[in-house]
Amino acid sequence: MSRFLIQRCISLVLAIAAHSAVAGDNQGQGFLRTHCLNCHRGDKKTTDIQLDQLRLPVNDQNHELWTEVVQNIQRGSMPPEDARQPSDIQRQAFLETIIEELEKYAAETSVPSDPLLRLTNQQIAHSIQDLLQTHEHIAEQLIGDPVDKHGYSLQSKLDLSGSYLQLYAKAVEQVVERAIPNIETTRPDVFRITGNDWEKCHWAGDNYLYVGHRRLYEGPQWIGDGFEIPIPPKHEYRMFLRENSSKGKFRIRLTLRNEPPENGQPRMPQEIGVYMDQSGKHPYKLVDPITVAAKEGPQNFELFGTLEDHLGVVSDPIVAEDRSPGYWLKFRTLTIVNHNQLEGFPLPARFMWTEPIYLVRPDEQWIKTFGQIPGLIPSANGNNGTHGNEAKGPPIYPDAIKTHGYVVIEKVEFETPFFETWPPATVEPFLTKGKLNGKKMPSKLQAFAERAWRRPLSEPEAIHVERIWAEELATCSNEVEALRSSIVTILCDPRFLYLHQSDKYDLASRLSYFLWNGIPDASLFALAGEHGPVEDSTMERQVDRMLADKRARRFAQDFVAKWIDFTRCDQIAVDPNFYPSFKDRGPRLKEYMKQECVEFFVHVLNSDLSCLSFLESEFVMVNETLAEHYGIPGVFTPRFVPVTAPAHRGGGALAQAAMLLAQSDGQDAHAVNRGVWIRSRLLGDPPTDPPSDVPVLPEVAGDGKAGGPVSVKQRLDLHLKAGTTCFDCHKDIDPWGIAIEGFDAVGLPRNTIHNAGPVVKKVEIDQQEIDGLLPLKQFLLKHRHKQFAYAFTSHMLSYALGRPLTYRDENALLAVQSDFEKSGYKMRSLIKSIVTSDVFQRDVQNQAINEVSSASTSETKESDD
Amino acid sequence: MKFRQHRRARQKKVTIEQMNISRRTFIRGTGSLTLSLPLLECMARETESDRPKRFLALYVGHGFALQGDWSWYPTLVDGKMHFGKSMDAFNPLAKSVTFIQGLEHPQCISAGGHSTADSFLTGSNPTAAIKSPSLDQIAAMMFGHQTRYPSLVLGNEGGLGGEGRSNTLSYNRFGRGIPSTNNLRGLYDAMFNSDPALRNKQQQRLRKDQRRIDRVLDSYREIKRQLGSNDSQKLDHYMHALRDVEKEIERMERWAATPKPQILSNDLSLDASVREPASFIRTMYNLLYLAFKTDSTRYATYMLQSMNSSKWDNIPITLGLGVTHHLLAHNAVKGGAHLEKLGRYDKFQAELLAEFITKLANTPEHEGTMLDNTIVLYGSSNSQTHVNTNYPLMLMGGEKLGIRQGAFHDFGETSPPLSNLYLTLLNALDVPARNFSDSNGTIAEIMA
Repeated sequence: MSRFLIQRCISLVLAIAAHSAVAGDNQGQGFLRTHCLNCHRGDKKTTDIQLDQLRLPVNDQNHELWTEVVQNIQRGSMPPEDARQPSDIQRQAFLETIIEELEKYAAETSVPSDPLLRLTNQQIAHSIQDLLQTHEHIAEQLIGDPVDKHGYSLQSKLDLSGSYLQLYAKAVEQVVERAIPNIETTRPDVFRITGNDWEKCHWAGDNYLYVGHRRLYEGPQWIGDGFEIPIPPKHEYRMFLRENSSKGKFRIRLTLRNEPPENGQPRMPQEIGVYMDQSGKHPYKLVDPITVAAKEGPQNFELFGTLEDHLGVVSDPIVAEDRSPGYWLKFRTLTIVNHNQLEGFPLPARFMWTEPIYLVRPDEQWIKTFGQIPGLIPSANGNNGTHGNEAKGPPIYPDAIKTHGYVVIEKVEFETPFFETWPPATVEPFLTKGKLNGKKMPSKLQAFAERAWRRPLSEPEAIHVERIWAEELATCSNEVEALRSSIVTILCDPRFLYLHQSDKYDLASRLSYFLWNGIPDASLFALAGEHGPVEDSTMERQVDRMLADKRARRFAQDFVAKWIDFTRCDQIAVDPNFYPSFKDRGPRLKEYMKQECVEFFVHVLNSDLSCLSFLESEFVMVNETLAEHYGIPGVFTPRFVPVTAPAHRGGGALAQAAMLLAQSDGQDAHAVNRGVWIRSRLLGDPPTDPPSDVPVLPEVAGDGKAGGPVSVKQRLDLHLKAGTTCFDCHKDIDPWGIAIEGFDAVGLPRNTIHNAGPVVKKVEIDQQEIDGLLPLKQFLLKHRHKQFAYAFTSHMLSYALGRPLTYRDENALLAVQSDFEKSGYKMRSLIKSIVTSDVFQRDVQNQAINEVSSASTSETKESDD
Repeated sequence: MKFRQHRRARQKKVTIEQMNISRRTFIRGTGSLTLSLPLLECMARETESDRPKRFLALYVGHGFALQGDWSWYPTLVDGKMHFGKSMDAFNPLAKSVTFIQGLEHPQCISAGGHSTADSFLTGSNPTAAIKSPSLDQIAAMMFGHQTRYPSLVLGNEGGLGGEGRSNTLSYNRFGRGIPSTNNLRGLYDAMFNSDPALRNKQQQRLRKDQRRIDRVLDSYREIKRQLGSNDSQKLDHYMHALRDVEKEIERMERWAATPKPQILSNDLSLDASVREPASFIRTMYNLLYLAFKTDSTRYATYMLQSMNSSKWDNIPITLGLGVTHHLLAHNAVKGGAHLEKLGRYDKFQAELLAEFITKLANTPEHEGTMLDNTIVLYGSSNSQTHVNTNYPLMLMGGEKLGIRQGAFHDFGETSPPLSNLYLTLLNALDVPARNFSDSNGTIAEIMA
């Protein structure tokens, strides 16, 4: 049909629609009666949506229901596929009528959307990081943002209460106090350790040696600072740091050498992971991965991190004399791990995976020196060189280095709190010539407020800031305290906590909160200050610039966390009775699983791949530990790297363990939840809530004994048996999840379900037989890619706008979706078309447009005069 | 309809209250042979509002051992309760305790196995973004102004915790979690320390907060002015939030003028840490006892064991039971020695609790004991781990508030929502509520 003809049709339809609306003979009921009322009426128990009493005009009572009707018909999710379908013309006519009525209602009731939006906890925390140049992240200390039933927390729903404000102010006070230390006093004590200082660190296993009841701590010079510790593949070196403060930056400096194997083979690059963790835990909190290049001579590395990311077990101060059992568990452990492949040595079974398992202690010398001293009592594990209980048998590294290249540690230095300069950079913006200067402070604080409030200060605002400072200075005991207090007040101001959707400065804020979750930088600020509208090409250039910045990772993290539903993933407690391996490696595996999703997203974004990769991809993003979990051989690095997806599972979101785990109950896979996730996240078609009187299905086997969980397939059969009440909805939910029943709660393939017989994963969707995960992904790719594009677009658009989408956004959504499809499903192009869309800019500039139009009207009037 | 009768009785009480005589005292008085004039005066003074009506909720996540010798529930022999090994500390208290079986929050049944802590005292749907207020906070909203602190929110782990597995039992009137405190010294200072330096510091702090509020209120007004006719609900809520903080400051200032009760810190182990769990919990109980005794507050919650907590999950290891509480509860399903281990942990908690209850029972108050005026609820939202039905619940004290003690109720057959129990308790605390979350009535059986 030619475009002209379509337009004719639509205008004809409009005429008819208008006519029928004017005639008022059916009040929208004709369409509803024909296509909806078969199911959606009061005497049917299949759904809570009842339309038999729904009439035009739209009013306060029914506008939400009408909106839902419109959205469902716009999306084509209603009437269901197996029901009688209206023709396109009928559909269009009905929609036009109702939308017109809805618009009329909206205009009459004129409830404009709230011009303010509160920053999310993540946005607040990152903004404070940006503003104070600190690493502290306060989001966890705030009252959690409410999450809707799909795991989303939308900005438009955010509010705050008195207790929120109190908690917030307290958290900010603490951050500010640390960011603005009293520089007049001397620099705080730095914990620094180079080499092996007995007073400050312990070697793993040192508590296996006793003299009487006293452990051997003494002997600070036992090896000295210059030491040579060989770390062959799958070996690690550990220091227990006698330090456990919970805040502050740290620096690790390493001097390493790359040595060739002793058999004369050439050097190999060595993949090293530097970890810092709670003592007693296996190393998993990576500070940084490093690669020791295959060359001769010492190589220096400098690594930075913050203690907040590497918390110890407790924050009680370490008492120097503390020798209570398990006291060493309080410390943090610095572990340097060689991830390279180790061939020809059987790995001890203790860890059951190819993590480094041989511990190297530079204490052979120690044992030689002290081992023969009379009165020395070996502990149960002995001081016989077997390295405690880390691995039985003699050390193997002397043999390993014969056939493997290895790393030699020449120097380790750990320092915290680490300041690059003193006074620290965080105070710098408030100093004049290196000192606090009360006279200059108002202008410094104004500059700070300008960044915090994300716009140039007006005259009264500038005076307001001056007044804050004057008041604090008059009442606080010193200038530092007055400065801290002023900063806190500026950060409690509504101008900081709320986005005020009014002008171009807010467009800059909107953009920076979309892609950085933080405050706009100078470049965006300047952009907002320019006269005239922002060109699309300028916006696009900014997107490229911003995505290249490391702050863009916050966007990836936040979007993926919501999309995959990390909240739920965190909530599910994996039952170690079902998954024994989770007992030891649970926490780190879960962290890595979540990270996999983020790394995958980042890889798709940065390598400009098609977003259909989320449906199926030839690669997966894994590190060594996760590769081991999935059974992928040959990954010997702590970094997340793209590797060929295993044939049995393929790639994409559906093969990611974080999703499979989140949509499980910790013991068994949960096909219904997985089905709901697919419908909501991948297909943009979330099923409606179950009716309120939904019967509860028995969780245990029929004999009443507490057996294992009944398989979900069996539960679906119960759904069927229980009558149509369940079946009507579940027939469109469960099959999606049942198709991935072949993967258990921790995302591993299985053929049988614990206590419930063999896996049944064959389902029928759209009259097509689908047997398992791989065919399901192929089906989605082939038949549902457009629907996925719609879903992904709407999730991204909703994320960018910070509010749920309505029927009014449908056109914008379709336009963005079409750009997205045309670009070959490129995420970068999706983001660009969102930020240049009317809806993104209109949302922000709502107010401004109103102001402009009223200004222009008055001008016209004047000229008329 | 038992609960209707109950309500009618309550209405009658109001008229007696107007006479400034406690109905119960009146009834008891007339039961005695002589009724001297001084006693009547006494009754006049002892009004209902004088009588502190207290509530304390205690919670242990993951559930208790409920089978065999180690069963948390007593067995009934000829109507008499026989306690199992874990609960034998309650033998001397058998007449002051009531066990309840067969209640749960129906909305939580299908929630995650470790995701019901937030709902325990609120009855909230665990999937709801915003919880409803908890029982203690509803009472505190009505009567909290009468004491220095409207309520105390304690928790061994402290803070808010994760969604579903909170570290607090209390949710405010907006359904927002109130972070629990585990700071023993902080609690002591707040309630009992009248050191002038501390008071001075507090005053400065309040003035600073007030200053800050004044400044951001300026900003609020300025933005409001800029918005003109464009209403912003969010901005209004911001202002309400400020007002709430302001009210809190006013309250603190008002109470700052009232001298704090003198309690010496010497007898309290305020430095106890997680390493000495018994000492720590005992100190928390002691602080609660003193808070009640000095009428510093009347409502309190104490999260003894959150679900999947961090430090406190390890307590059973400290106690020599080998594994974390979480695992202990999981393993208990296997029975035998595993069940016994969980039972031993239950015993640890029960002994500390019995000690506290005994203390309340031994302290005379208003011609009864403190326990008579204090309703203590103790329980879990898991009967065994991952099972969200049939909460093990125990009710202690409150006999002067109308609670009948020494009973064992099994509501398994009718299975009313747990919220019905909470509604009944609220009414006993004088809160004229008609609903609590998903309640559909009250439970008359627990009342005398």
